[in-house]
Amino acid sequence: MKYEAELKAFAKRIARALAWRFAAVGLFLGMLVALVLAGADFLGWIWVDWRWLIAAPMVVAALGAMLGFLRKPKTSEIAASLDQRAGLRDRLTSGIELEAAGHPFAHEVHEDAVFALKSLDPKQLYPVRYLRWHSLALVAGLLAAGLFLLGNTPVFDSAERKREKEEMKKQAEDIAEVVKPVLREKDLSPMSKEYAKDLERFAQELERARMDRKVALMKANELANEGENLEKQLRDRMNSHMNDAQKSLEQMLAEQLQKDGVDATPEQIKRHLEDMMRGANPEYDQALQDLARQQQDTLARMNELKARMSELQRQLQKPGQSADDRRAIQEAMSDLQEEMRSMEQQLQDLKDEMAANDQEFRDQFGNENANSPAVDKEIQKLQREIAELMEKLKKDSLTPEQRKALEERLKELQKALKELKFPKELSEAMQKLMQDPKMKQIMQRMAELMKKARLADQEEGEGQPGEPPKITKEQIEELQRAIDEMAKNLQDADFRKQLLDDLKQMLDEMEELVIGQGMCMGFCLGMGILPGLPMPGGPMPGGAYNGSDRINKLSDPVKGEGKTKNARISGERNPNQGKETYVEVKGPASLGKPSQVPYLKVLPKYQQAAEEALRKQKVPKDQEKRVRDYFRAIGGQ
Amino acid sequence: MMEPREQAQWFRETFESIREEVSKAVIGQTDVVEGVLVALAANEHVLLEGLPGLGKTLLVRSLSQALSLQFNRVQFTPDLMPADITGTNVLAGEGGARSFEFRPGPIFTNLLLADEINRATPKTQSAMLEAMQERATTAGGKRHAIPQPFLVMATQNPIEQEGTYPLPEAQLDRFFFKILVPFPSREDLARIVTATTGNETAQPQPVANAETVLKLREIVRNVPIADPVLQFAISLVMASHPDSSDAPEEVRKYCRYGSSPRGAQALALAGRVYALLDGRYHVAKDDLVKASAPVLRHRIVLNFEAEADGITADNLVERIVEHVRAQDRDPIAV
Repeated sequence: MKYEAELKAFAKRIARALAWRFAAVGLFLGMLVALVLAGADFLGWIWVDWRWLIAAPMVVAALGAMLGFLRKPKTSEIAASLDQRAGLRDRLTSGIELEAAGHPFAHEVHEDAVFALKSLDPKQLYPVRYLRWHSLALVAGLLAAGLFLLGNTPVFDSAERKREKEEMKKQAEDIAEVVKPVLREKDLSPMSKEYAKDLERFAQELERARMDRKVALMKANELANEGENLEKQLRDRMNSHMNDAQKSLEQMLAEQLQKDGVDATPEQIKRHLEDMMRGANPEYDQALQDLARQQQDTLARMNELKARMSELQRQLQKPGQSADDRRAIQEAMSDLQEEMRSMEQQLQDLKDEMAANDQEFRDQFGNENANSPAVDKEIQKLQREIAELMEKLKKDSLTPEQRKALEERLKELQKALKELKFPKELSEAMQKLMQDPKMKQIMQRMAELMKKARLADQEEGEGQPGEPPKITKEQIEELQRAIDEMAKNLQDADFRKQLLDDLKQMLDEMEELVIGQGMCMGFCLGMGILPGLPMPGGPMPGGAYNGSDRINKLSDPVKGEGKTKNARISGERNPNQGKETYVEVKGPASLGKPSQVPYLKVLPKYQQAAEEALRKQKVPKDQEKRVRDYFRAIGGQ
Repeated sequence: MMEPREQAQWFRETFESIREEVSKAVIGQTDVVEGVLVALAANEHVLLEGLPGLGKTLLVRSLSQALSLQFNRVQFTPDLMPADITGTNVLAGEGGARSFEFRPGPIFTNLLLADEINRATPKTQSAMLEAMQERATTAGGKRHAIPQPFLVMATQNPIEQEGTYPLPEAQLDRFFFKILVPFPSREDLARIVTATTGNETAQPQPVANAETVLKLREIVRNVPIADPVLQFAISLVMASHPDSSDAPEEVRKYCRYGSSPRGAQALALAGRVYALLDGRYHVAKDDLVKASAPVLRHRIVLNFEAEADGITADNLVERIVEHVRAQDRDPIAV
């Protein structure tokens, strides 16, 4: 068409002008989005990063510009637009239509239109200029920025609120530190990932410190519960796989022993399986050795101190000492005594730690007699006793009764010896099984995981020393039950072929559990270190109460069961006011069924009831204050 | 056959020469003269409304002189009968050769001035308006065609409504334009007095004839009108209907009936003439806007509320044009 060529310059200019206009509209819309985000942020509905407020208008404006540039107006639209803008009196519109219709006047109209077009400047007709959309965008942007800054500026915060914010931020850092590495794990299950993301979001909310303390605590409780549930699910799943794996392992061991001609009871197999696992856990022995070395060092230092003390006592008893010298010696002795007391405490701690480690191992494997040197000693003892009996039996001086008694004793000793020596035979048989490289790898991984689990449990138990690692214990109990059951029931050979797969799967589950435990523990630790947050249980430095066990106690049902009966007393408090009836509570009130409502949710209601009672009753001012202080202390307003 | 460019050029020159000649006698009243000439070129009739003595008769006479056409003037009165206008059969001849012969009425002319048409009875009005539409009359069962070109200029006096028969809407619709003849300005009035009270009175010279007028009409019909422009004309007519969704608020409030389809036809025709006069070969929306007042003002029937509020048809036409123009936005908003 002739007109397309004539209008090309205008079409280009229109594309630019449209891009500019659409970008302006997009900027305005983006600013509106930013305003909405800022509003939501101000109201605390969502957490908004300031970069979003900048990115939203930029992105929408860029999209608008692209859309405007790509929008190609039709020739007829350009013509109509030019007719209006340039006052061409419909020359182009008519010309295009006449040309299409082949009208006799088409040529004249075209010439007329082209002549009119020559005097037009596309830039003047379609200027790229400041539009009202820019003004609107500016207003919306200012509002968004103002709202955002208003919600985030600490200027209007009280000193206490500022301190709270600081604490929350610190807590957020702690949680983020735990969660971030977890989120980077590739093999995390969807459940764990979801939980980690929840934690991350919570950390972000805390980072903004826009949350109320109580809300933060409630949310923390919910997340802690969620974490526990997740951990339980993972543990249940792992236990299931572990049982299967243990059964298969037990079956294989029994078959191997049978093949080697060794009779073994399920208990014996179990005991030696545990031995093997302990053997595959060299870090544990290393830890014990380290503790023993520390103990020796401490003892050496103690001896040194004792020698020094003796020396000082000797000096003190020497005649001719001045008062100052004696005072100096006494002070030195006092310091030494203090240091010795400290050393004794260290020694005791080391002993406790070693005992705890030993107990931990026993809890893990349920084996009281797993000490191979002790068994060897017992065997040697039995062998000596048997040899002595044999010598006695060789003597002719024995009466038949004595001989019979000695023979019976000999049989008992031989039986006991056989039982004690059996583990060695069993170990040899199991060593054959352990020649399999895959089995070695699996056992190694299992040992590593157990170490991780133990470390994680130690972390969890910080502040509560001596608490046994409950996961491992449960697992081992399950394992023991599984072994017993397996020894009786499992006879399926095909199942054994899946042993390695089951073991691997079990290890994967264990790995995930260890990660999940770490995440939950890290989070709980993060919440625990936040001072000022009212926790149930023991008092915190800030006067609030901290959880003595876990912070999620707040959401646990209250199981208060008062045993003391209420006493109803009737009487006249004031003769002028008539009779009144009081209900005096002597002890914890009987609550009936345990409450399912978290304590913090009902607290405001109780506080309100108390306030109302204070208003209605004549209560001394200092007692009013006492009531209010009480509610404030337990987390009320 | 002339080229389009030549046709347009010739049209413009001829039109201007006729206007010039008429303007020699009719001082001022430029728009009135142009309106009458546009109606003439469009082959339509005109209703003039104005006070007596404003030169309506002079205009028709001058036009007839300039065009070398026959001119008749009929003063409408209540006792005027249809046959007085259309003609009648009379007994003619002598002796035994007598027979009825049609005696044409004053309508059989090229230019007819129907003065104070609203003073005639509806019966007479109808007879004349039928002749205007059909361009022929029937008498004694025989149809008699009126010679071409044929232009009726009817006049109405806006005052002295006593004893008049206002033209019904259907008959008003037959008029292409309703032109308001304004009172001349001070300067024009001075010129009129000077020119008409002296010894010499300017007389228009013939610059065209019937054939010229017919050719003018042919050229007008050749002028194209693009669809968007035609849609604009239709929008103007549609917006005059109070029950239309396109109507502005004022039309809904003050208008009883809107324009008939003849209004759209008249707009298109008048637009063609105005386009040629503007030196263009196509109709523009501005041409339609220019024609909107004379075309629509007598086709819009106002209600009582408009009368009470002092709203005139011209006010509504102006509002309609604004409304339609506002809707006709630039398709590329940048």
